[in-house]
Amino acid sequence: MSEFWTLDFWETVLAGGLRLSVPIGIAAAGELVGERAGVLNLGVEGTMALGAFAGVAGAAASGAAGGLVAGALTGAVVGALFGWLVSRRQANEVVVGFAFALGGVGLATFLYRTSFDRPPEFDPFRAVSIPGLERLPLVGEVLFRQPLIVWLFPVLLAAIAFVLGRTRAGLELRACGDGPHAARARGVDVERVRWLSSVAAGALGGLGGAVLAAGIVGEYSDQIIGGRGFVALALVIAARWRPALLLPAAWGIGALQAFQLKVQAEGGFGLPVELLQALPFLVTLAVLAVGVGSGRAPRALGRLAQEAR
Amino acid sequence: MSTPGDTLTSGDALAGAAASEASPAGENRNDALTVTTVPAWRRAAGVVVIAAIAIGVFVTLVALFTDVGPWDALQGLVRGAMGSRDAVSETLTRAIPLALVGVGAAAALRAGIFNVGGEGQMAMGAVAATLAIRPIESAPALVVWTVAFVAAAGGGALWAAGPAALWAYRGVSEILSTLLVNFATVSLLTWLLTDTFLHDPDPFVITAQGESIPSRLELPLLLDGSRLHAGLFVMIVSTAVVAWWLRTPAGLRVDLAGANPTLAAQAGIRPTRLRVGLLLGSAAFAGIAGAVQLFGLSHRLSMGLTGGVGYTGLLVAVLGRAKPIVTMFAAIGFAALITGGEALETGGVPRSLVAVVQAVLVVGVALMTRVGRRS
Repeated sequence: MSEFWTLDFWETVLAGGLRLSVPIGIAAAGELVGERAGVLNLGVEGTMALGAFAGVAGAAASGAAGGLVAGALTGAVVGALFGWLVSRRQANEVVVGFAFALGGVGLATFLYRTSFDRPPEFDPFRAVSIPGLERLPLVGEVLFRQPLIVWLFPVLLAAIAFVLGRTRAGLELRACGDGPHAARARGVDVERVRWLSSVAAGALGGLGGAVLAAGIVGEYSDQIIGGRGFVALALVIAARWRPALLLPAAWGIGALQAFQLKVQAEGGFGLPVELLQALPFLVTLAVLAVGVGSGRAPRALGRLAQEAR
Repeated sequence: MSTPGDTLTSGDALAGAAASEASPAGENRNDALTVTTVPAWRRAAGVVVIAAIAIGVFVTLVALFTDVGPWDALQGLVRGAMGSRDAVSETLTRAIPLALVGVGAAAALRAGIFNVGGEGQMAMGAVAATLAIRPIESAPALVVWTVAFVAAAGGGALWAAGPAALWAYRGVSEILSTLLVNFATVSLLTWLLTDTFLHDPDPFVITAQGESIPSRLELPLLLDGSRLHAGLFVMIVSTAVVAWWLRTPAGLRVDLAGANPTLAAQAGIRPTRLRVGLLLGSAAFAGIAGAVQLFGLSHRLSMGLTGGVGYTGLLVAVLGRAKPIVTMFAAIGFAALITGGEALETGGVPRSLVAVVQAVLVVGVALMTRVGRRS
């Protein structure tokens, strides 16, 4: 009960937080890519759920790594459909996104119920100790006794930051988000770029779901995403649409989730369990309330339908 | 995501629909979908195509993933939804809260406000109703219901006050804030129904639920042997009131604020204030929906009181193209799908398939309205 201030407690919270930050962070990174191109996809929740299902199905067939590939591919298909609907067909992106969120969760549940009579068995990724470094106090436990999959997130973020900031493709993508008319005048096929970024965003969303279900938890359940897709949307705003800021933002929200789980496991310290469960959502809301600068949003974000005229 | 002045958050899209008369063509920068320009035959054709696609998705998924024959499943869905007196009354019972949330959301949609918080607002409406009737339980039932519904409307609106303030003062998207509040509300409700005086006093009950209301205060049933209750009239009256209100000058202001906030401001309307009012108003309807579920159906506070109605209610408003009466019929349609889906579940088809069909229908409507704009 009185273990609240021990090193052990915070090691568990930070280490668990790092693991939990990976799925939500990868999905948020995908959403960030889409939003920088001007595509707002509210359906991340559904994409993650389908990715989680595909991840578990793929893992049951060919191991956890196969699950990740299956999740990413599934997400890419969902993203392609979404991108086609909102970019090519100019359907209202909020309506379609919301439908994708609810429909995606429903479809994932349906597919899981009809595909498996009992939970499939496979091994999620196991923690790997890095010799030497793992002995460091605090840092060793938090960073160097983790499944290797956690490193995927910073690597992906670095890649996204590089592509967005340093390549011509990234420049065109950002142009589609900030000044689509100018981009079109310079010969950029805005619809195509947006469709492609939507595919990439979907792939990352599906990968995020697969990492959670197949890589970390090791099973699928109806509530496995449980609002993470919507928190991922908020993370993009909290990170001000910058990949580098997504790392601390995701770790923060992951640590909150880990804190909740750890405190619950320790008997609650006299706090109501429900308060702890609500904490990640309340903190996200507070961050939105305090930290949002609307000036940093891609200028064309949420305006797909208007542009077409 | 953007400042209220030019909030574009989205529903402008639907808002544009009715507002096209109100604002000069070409001026309304936020007008995204103008359904009014679609010729009737094209709209009819669109409805047929959407229905066909939805049926196609249903049949395909059933054929590929279940042991049930697709034709049997389709028949089972229709029969379960409206094949008997019981099925029809069950469908109507489920339509009541959907339509209540839907008509409120529809009015807000017209001004470009997406209230996704119906789920939490319903729950808090029911909680507020429960608290309000405690001191007056022995009063005549009509008095108690009136007090309860007023309290529920207030409780729902109160639950949207935070997101409304964040939107108006900080530019936080109401879509995200109302959603996040929903997730927090689930935890709050669990706590209220487990650890506080709202928990069922029966010592053998450990699940999160409240005390049942006196049977005298239950809304009267309309048909013997069914669950259909007098909330049906609340649904019809609410729909009529919103439909009437949107035809008054106030409705014109709503449409104008949704279609073109700048023009609305020039015309002496305060778009931000109007939209905040609509967000709170739609939340009030969600609160009333919660109270109707409480008095008509569950007869006690419970975790299953809302059951996704808050989300589906918004979809219903989209499907009804933000028109109250169309929205009410869309609610009955979605309720039929849900009731039919329950019947299928016993036959081995998971009911979550219904959510997929609903999503397909909503996407279809989003596409169709877009088609309208192009012509």
